[in-house]
Amino acid sequence: MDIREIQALHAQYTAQPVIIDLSRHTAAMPMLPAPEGSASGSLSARALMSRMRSAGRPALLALAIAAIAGAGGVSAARIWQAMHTTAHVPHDAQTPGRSAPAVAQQPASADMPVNAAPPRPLTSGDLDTALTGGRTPLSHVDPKALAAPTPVIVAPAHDVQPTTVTQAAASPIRATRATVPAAQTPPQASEPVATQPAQRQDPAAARVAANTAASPASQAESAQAPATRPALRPIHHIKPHREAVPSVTHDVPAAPSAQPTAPAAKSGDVQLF
Amino acid sequence: MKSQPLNVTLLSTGLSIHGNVILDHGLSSFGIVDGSVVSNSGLLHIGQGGMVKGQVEGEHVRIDGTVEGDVHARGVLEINGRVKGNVYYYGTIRLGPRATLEGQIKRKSELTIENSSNVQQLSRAAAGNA
Repeated sequence: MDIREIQALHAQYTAQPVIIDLSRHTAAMPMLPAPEGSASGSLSARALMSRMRSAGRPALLALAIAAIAGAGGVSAARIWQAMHTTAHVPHDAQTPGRSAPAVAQQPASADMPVNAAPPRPLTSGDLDTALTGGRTPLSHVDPKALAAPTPVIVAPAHDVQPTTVTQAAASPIRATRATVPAAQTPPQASEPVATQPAQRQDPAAARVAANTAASPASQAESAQAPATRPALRPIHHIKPHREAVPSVTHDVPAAPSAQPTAPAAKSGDVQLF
Repeated sequence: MKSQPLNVTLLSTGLSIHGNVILDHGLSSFGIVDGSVVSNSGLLHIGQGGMVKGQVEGEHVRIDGTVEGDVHARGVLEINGRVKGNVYYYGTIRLGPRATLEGQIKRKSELTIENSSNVQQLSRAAAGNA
């Protein structure tokens, strides 16, 4: 056994010194990934998922509250719109140009509240768009339609009121007070009462006149008839009063010749007698 | 950190020592030692053809020759020779094909000083010399 073998044998049992070489170890170590490396994406996703899970229930509550608030706002807006339209329709109708008819309309509208009010009281079911398919009963109501007929109704209002009055006057009870409706109409009041039968010329009156013209004996009565019963004829033929109004000026000059014209119109029928 | 150079004492063949050999490093003995051999560190190697007539105590002990006395090993003990005495070891033991044991093998878990009488004897011997 030579010396080399002895050295090798002793080298096997020699306590190896512990060498700590930090620089060598750090150089041999692999490069560590950056703190914000590829794992940051998954880490952020996991953090986001955890946050979503933690914030899921409050988010759902917030969404529910927002949905309820939105639905309430929409319904409130619809109610406000409906109230606004119904409340402002009379204001829209009272335009400056129509101030005079509007003033005259007020007593007439008191007689017709149906035009200003909805056909039936407004209920919550009417505001529910889901049940009515998005169309509320108020949607059928046209504010302009409500406003437009009012001036139109004004004109008949003048006729209605005299009509009721005249109908009341036409009752047999007031048959003797024939001058009362004539006094209520100022343009007709200035004219003599005897001329009213001539002013109320209509086919029926012409027929009566033709009958009177057929008999000479009754012709004298026909001359006196307008004086004796002037009120009955305007009472029975009050509706064509408007139609007869333009004929007033046309018939006024012809009033003296009313009697000769009557036989000429139905001359054929009269001559048969 | 600089590694320590290998420090080994070599007792070649044809050497005869009467007395105890105490050293703090490794030893390879191919001679004849009439006394105890104590090594604090390293390998205590009794080579083939070597002989120790006394106690052998070391950290790592490898016996390829002949030991007539007790053997104490604190670490690895390899025996591929002839031992007449008891064997005490604290680590591992390996017996080679040419191992001859005439004694008992005991393994201890702790390092203890058994032969306190020897220390007293040494102190007496030192006092006697003084």
